[in-house]
Amino acid sequence: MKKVLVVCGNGIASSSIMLAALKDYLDEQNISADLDKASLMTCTDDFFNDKDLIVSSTKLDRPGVKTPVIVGSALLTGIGEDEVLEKIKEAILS
Amino acid sequence: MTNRILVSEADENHINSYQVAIKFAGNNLFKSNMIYPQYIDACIEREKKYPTGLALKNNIGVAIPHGNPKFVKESGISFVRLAQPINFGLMEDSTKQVSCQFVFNLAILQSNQQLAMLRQLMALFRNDDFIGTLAKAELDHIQKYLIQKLSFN
Repeated sequence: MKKVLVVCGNGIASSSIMLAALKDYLDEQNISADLDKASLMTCTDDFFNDKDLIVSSTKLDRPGVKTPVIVGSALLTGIGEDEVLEKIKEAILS
Repeated sequence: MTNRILVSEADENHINSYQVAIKFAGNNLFKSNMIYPQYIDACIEREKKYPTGLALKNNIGVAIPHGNPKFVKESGISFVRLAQPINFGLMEDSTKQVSCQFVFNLAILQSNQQLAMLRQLMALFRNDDFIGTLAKAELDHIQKYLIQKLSFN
């Protein structure tokens, strides 16, 4: 199963909302994934690189991170949400 | 478990930066004994590094500053309507800014407990009626509206 990490500034509010929205979508699509959330402040590059996909509330400026990153703040505002969910789905199923 | 909702308006012109806006919102949380005083600086520090401005439909900007839960005593929200919109950093790209008229200073103890409230708040952000209410309604009405929508178990 693909390991998906949802991250935001402190791993409290935004990542929780994004994770819940993503979980609802994946359940609805019958896609299983290993979902987790974390704080950008505390994650090491190694921790990120152990994942298959990162969904982040913000652009990630971390050259050491090799895992693909999708910016997922659309899951908060709803603007462009369908495109983001589609991208995440493709990444998980690829 | 309930979430306390505070509502205020900043009509003075002295709010000229996001730092001052967060202080204004946070001070209301402090006066209501919902946070320890350090929470306000924690929110400002976090905002610098990981901004919380969100661009909604129709060029409406909202910010949802929040900080370390260890400085929170009681969960809730301090909503502030700014007479003059203030630039906040954009969450998805901190090199960009978004002009925000509405600030929701979140006091969150533990994410799981407040998840329902936060998700409902995000759902409201997509609702044109809600944004219209925030812009035009009396503060009492906004508070009742937010309590009704967000303070459920």
